[in-house]
Amino acid sequence: MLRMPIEKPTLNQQGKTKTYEWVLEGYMPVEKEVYAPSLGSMAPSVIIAPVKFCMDGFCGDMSDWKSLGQWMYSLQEKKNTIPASFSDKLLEMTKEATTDKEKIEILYKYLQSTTRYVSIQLGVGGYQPMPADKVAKSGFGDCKALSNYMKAMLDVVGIPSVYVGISTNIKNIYTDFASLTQMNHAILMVPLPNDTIWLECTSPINPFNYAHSCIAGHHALLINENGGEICRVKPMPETADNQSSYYHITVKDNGNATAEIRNDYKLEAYEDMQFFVHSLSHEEQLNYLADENAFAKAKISNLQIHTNDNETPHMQLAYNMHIDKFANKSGTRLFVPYSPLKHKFRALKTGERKHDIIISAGSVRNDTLIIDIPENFIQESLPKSNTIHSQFGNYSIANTFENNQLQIVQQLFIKQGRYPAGDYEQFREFFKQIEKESNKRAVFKIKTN
Amino acid sequence: MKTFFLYAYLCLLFIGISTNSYAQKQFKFGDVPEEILKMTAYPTDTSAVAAVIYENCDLWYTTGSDDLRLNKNYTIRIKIFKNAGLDYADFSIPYIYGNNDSREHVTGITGYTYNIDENGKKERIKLTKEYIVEEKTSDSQRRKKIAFPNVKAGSVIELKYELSSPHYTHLDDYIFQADIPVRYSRYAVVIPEYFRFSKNTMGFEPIDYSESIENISFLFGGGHFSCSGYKMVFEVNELPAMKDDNYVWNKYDYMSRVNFDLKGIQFPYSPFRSLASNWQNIDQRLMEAEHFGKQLRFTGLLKNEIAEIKVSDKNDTEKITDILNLVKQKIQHNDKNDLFISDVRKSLKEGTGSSAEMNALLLCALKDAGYEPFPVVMSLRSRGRLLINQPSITNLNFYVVGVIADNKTIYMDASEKYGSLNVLHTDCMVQNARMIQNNKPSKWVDLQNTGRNVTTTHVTAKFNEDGILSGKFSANKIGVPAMNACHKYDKEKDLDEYQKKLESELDIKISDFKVDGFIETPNIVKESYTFENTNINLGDEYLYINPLLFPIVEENEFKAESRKLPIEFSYPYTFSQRIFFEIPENYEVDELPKAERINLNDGDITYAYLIKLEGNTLQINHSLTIKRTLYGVNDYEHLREFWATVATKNTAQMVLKLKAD
Repeated sequence: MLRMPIEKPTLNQQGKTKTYEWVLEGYMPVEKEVYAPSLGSMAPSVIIAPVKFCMDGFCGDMSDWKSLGQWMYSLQEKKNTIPASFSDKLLEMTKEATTDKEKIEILYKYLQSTTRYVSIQLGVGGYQPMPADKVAKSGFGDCKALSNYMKAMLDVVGIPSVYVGISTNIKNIYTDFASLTQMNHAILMVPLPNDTIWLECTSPINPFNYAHSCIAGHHALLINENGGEICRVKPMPETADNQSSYYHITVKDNGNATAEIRNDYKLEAYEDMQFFVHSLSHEEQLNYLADENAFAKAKISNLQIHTNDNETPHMQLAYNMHIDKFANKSGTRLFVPYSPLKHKFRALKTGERKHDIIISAGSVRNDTLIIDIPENFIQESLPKSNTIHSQFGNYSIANTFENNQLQIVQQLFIKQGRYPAGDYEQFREFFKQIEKESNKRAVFKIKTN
Repeated sequence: MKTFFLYAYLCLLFIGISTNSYAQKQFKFGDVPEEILKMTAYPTDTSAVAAVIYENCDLWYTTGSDDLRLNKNYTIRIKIFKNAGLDYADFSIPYIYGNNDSREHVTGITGYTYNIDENGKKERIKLTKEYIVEEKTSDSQRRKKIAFPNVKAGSVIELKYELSSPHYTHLDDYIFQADIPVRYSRYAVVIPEYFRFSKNTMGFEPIDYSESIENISFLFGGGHFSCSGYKMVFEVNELPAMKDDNYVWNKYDYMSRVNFDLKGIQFPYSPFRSLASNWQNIDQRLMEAEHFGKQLRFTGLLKNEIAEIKVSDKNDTEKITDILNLVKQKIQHNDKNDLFISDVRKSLKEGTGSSAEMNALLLCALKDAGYEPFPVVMSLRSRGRLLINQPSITNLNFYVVGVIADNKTIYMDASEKYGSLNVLHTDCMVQNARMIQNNKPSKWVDLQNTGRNVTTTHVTAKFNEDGILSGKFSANKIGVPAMNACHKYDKEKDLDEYQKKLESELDIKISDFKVDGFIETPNIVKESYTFENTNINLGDEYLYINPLLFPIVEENEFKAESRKLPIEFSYPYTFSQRIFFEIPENYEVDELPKAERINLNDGDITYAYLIKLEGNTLQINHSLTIKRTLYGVNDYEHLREFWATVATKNTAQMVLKLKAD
């Protein structure tokens, strides 16, 4: 398949060897830009796939997804036998469950707790799953083996499922061109009457039926006895990256402060924080939080972690903090950081934009800060409340100051989408404004009686 | 005195009576105690995803067909606690697979996975052949890849194997510490009395040591031959997991480990067979080596160019700079860093080569130009610290070129694109590098302080007629900052792009952007521009402005509450700023940040924020100097406090008040 503008190939034949040569000339480099479409979607490219082929004695036809699917299906056939004793055990495990979904969940959790991912990529083994009974015996396999194994377990309890080929980096594959190289992963799909379950079989920590961010909304090739069929995995909600926080900060007149903090992470934000629970020691968790917050010197205590590892996963961290130099004390004034939260926007270059702007995942962030100012200080300057609307999302920051308590509510919504390159200046301005707002300080002055 | 602490922990040799043979006696391969199988978390580190419960490595010598062989017997038992620790059930045993003479053999791989089954009973699964895969990693290297079956959180795995090697003069470092806790590990070596060796233990954790004498029997020419051997046993108990941290050159430097270096063999009635017993010996071997010293002896490689440089009326520094530039043009770096030179003439012909070839050409060219250059060999920071008391050729992996001219020693690395005279990539800025000079004894040199690393900035700012804060910025960069600046420019398509990036990072408008010295082998890089900052609006009753305008440290680099590893800065430097800020006419200063001057450990690091008002011009002298790069953990709390003050000062604001009239 050709993605233009490349001339048709020249053909050279020497004996039995045919050499096709594609030539691209005078093509300027594609400039790197942030939030840009992928290089693959912009640069001319050639994708090659054989129509008729044989691999280690397995012959197939790649002329369309249906026939490619047939070949892949043939690779798995007879790979799903499970020893009788193991079948009994699976039936025993699921006998109390009242719904199919419950059964699937029980078996999925069993899969997660008894197997692990080990990469195996040899010959046709790169496309053919290791047999289910082998996985049952060894307790490990690659994505194909583990998905096929899960499928075999579901077969035992009478729930049909579909083996799925997918790409973890490309959301939209060339649906009009069947090729193996457009996929690099396998998962499992279970069709239920009113629901479709997606199972990532290589992760011991992925929540049940949670289509994580590397597969959510991606094209998928369903592989069954009738061949292959392209569909899409359940997409993430529009605001997949979902975070909120609550800070109650009490400032002392030397600028130091104590704080009670809650941070909430959902969906993609939850995924990004899974390492926090699974890979860090308590000490490392404290160091991580100290580093995540923008304060110069902080001590964290009473850390509590709550997680809901379900289809809409959620993690909450609650902790206390003692912050040195929270407010910059300067003679008679306290400079209180207005929004002491680290924003992680990449600096956007000025100048001409070449490519469209891609925001691949929407995000939402809500922060509430309640800051108690010491009795002997009065307000001198408060940033104005502000709301910024744009096609890329909305931002608002609002404050009230009553009884020496400053309350700040900050909300940010970034909209997923593709925007024309011409709107780049607006895009830059949007983030610049947010940056500006969140860098402001509230200034309080000592009372002079 | 200041560098003493480093030697103190790198070279400590804990000699004591072995206190824990308990664990060893208890251990029985193939039979895991219930208590370990039932353990749910590691007692002293509940976050550990897995732990090494037991590890043992025995080394001894036997005779092969016509020479000695080194044999290794290795056993390990690992407990997996969490899913994230499942990777510890995958092993890889690399070995040399060359011709018959150099081939190593891995035999007797045995292993078990232990689980508790549904009925609460101990279950043992054997590691069968199907779980062991042979992989070819290079022409002469292979590895056995092992994936244990049925492993899940809670499993215990055991593995043992033997390795027999004809490379008996080389003993790998034995590393006790790991990314996970180690409950017990033992390393035992029996060395025949005729072997001369040195041993070194390193790291923070104590290592128990004991030695005894044992009888060894060799088979030589059909007859038995006995001698006595030294048996050395090293044991460790309860080692914590080793974690990485920022400001650490290489965490490997701090792992508890033992190193043996065989210096030579002295059989009775035979001459002493030396095996690199000291650094002088290594120097000599290197200088005679086909792929080192011999490659440095070529002459006339760049005959015409050098002849031209030689007759020019430039001074030595200029001539050497020209030669360095010439070499960079002649050979492109292929991104490989090496000690050994494969073929300098071939690289010159092809126009591409490793650091070793580039520096060989540089050395040869300098010699042709009448200088007396010499190689300075080292182990890069990224490859681990070189320890002087462990002479070993295998620990060397890089070299730069030194030359004495204009009464000073100049170090150069042609493979660093923007390096220059005495400006090296930080990876080469090591504590111990070895200068190997012709006809002179070699010596150790410290490459951390080869030149000055200084950034000086000058800023003038005022509100212009339109009420916009504007001014001039200029910076002079010398040494590593100059090199780093060139790399930054280089990363962008052109300087225009760099300017745009700077504009967005600093959120200012830049015009008249100028850079001098953005060349290969820069001496001084000068950057200057005119700026406008539209974020501050005149007119408000109070103006709050950070008078630094271009702060240098906005965040504390040391936020973590605790620290396990020493703190190692990349290089010593001075950063200084002078700022002249004109107060707008209708405003007066209401409050200024306080001046501050702090220093750490008698001037190892100094910071100054000096501010004064002269007429209506605010003058600030702002500077940060790091003199010493290496700090012990004891200094951490001070550094953390120091950096917090620096960060706070860098964000401090002054208050300007609208005049009453």
